[in-house]
Amino acid sequence: MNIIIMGLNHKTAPVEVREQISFTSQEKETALESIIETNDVQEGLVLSTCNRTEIYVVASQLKKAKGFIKKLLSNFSTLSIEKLNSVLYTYTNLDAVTHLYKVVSGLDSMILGEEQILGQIKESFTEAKQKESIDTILHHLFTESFKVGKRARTETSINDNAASVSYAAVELANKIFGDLKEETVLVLGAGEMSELTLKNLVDHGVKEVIVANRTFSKAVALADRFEGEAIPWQQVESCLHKADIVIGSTGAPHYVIRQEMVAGILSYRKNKPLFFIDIAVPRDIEPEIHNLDNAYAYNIDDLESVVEANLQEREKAIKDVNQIIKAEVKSFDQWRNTRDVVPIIKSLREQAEEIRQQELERALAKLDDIDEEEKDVIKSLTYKIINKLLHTPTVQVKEFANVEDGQVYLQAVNKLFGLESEEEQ
Amino acid sequence: MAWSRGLLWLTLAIYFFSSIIYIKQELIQAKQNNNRKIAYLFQLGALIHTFCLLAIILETGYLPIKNLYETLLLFSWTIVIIYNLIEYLYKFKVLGAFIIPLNTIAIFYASFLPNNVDNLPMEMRSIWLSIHTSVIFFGYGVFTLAFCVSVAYLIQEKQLQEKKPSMFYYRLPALNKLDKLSLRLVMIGFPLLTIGVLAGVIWSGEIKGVYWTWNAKQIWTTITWLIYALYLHNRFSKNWQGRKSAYITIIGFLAILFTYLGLAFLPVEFHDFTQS
Repeated sequence: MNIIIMGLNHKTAPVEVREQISFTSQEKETALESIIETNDVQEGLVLSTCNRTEIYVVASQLKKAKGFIKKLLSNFSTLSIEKLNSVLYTYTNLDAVTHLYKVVSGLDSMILGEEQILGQIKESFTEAKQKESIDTILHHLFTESFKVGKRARTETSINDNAASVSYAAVELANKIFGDLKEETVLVLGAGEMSELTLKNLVDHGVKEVIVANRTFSKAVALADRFEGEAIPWQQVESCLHKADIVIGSTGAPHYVIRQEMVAGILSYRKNKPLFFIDIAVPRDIEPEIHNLDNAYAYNIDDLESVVEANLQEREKAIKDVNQIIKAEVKSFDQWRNTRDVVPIIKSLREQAEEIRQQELERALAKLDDIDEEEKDVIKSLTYKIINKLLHTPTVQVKEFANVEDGQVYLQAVNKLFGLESEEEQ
Repeated sequence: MAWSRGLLWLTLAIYFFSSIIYIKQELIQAKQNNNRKIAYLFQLGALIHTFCLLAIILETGYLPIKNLYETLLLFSWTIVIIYNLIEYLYKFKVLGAFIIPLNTIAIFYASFLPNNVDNLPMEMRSIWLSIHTSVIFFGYGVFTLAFCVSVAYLIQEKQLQEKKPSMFYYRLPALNKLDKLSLRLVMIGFPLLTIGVLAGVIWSGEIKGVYWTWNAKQIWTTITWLIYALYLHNRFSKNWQGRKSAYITIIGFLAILFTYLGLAFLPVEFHDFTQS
């Protein structure tokens, strides 16, 4: 049995190609049905996100399986097989396992280490499970992969540090204030960006929310969503001293918060730090504020460069994630090999038992005048002989499962005992 | 003598390995998320360090405050114990990558120092001397950590000022936490220093009939005391947060270093730890 992955992602195919080949949930269902119907593959699963489309199958014959996947992909898109060939990558067996583990850990994602992919794979897995298009091998593979994805993110720093501007702002706030439980945030402007940043801050436990907007009704609406207080635009300056974090996101053509406004309140605030997040263009916060002691002003470019640095920091964890993947691939390999030898051991035992029964019958037929007790002795003798004879081969076959070139040994065992393992049937 | 010496070598060896592991994990490798294991080795070292001090007490029948060798061991023990507490409470492990190697060097240095225990005449032994020295060294340990935390504050502050996150941005705790921690440490250290000095004054009065002689050590201790008094005064009445306060704790630490080590090489009556 082989595990085969074919697919494309943001690295191999441009968006024009990816959008044609991405599966809607309806299409996914149909694809899973055709996987169930065909004899070319035994198990199959479809993973389709905006950055990748991948088909995972288990098949005994590689060629047939590849042909099947290509046909499937071209049926569900407008792409010809030739065009597909130029963008598709193929991984088989342990390479396929490694690939899946990399994908699930976020190593193959556009944003290194991102967590969404784990959820998307889980979703695809659930769909395939419901449709019963997967069986033991893919079931085990994907269940293991979720473990890998989780380990990568908890044991290494691959998912640490914000990868988006609004989240980076929250992390900076955390680096200044520690937790945000005591902090008050003042939002200038009630736009989408301010709402997103505000939401992240509130999720991280900000104590109080104050919203100011030129159109007061919008301020009220936003404040209501976060159980905050709305203030009229004219009160911004008088309320500034209450805030520990200020989000600037207005459409104003000039600075809304000027240095002299801040300089005055810092000592009133007992030198408690004050953090300005300026996501407006043109800017709302006068950059000179950053030069004041205990005041920090970050504009959109500063936040972008923090995100950049964060992603570089994540790259350092790739090595650690790869180590986890390597170990997990090995453990999957062992599982699969051990599974492979079970039928061999079974048929070895069956064969021996068959011979024992035949010979026992024949021998007992010749011996008429023995009693039950003597029969039992003979029976147990034969049983003990085959058991002892088979003990070492059984142990060794299990060992072969996990040594290099183990398959060669296993074939030798098959040949030596003239076994027909179930796989060859 | 043999017991405490053996324990000293064992402590030194464990601290040495802990240093390597902390530096590797906290400064060189990518950050690992759940890694409590490395702390255990270091904690074992701290435990043996404790036994080492107990062995000295049993062997000499007196607190480990009799010479530079013993006080260095006591001093570094204080730092190790308080650091362990900080690591546990604040998950501030990168500090260990600096504290542990420095402790290792201090103990390594101590292992070369002469250790003559008979340098303290019986008549000088007094409860006041025990309080004086041990409390002051405990205070010094606390101040040393306040110094480290302040340096960490300044590093983190610089990162936020320059808007260029580097390795330390990711590994150091939040500014406010560092600021509060250093305040907390000074608030512990200051009363210890005060009690220690007062105990010394009483002891001096008991032994020599003179309470204060204005020798170099006493002058410098006064300066140190004043620096930390200024720190607390500014924090509480002028709300000095952050950078300025961090600078004061650094100056305070330099004064301690000079008082303890610098003056140790000058002959000062009663305060000379180098001569036996």
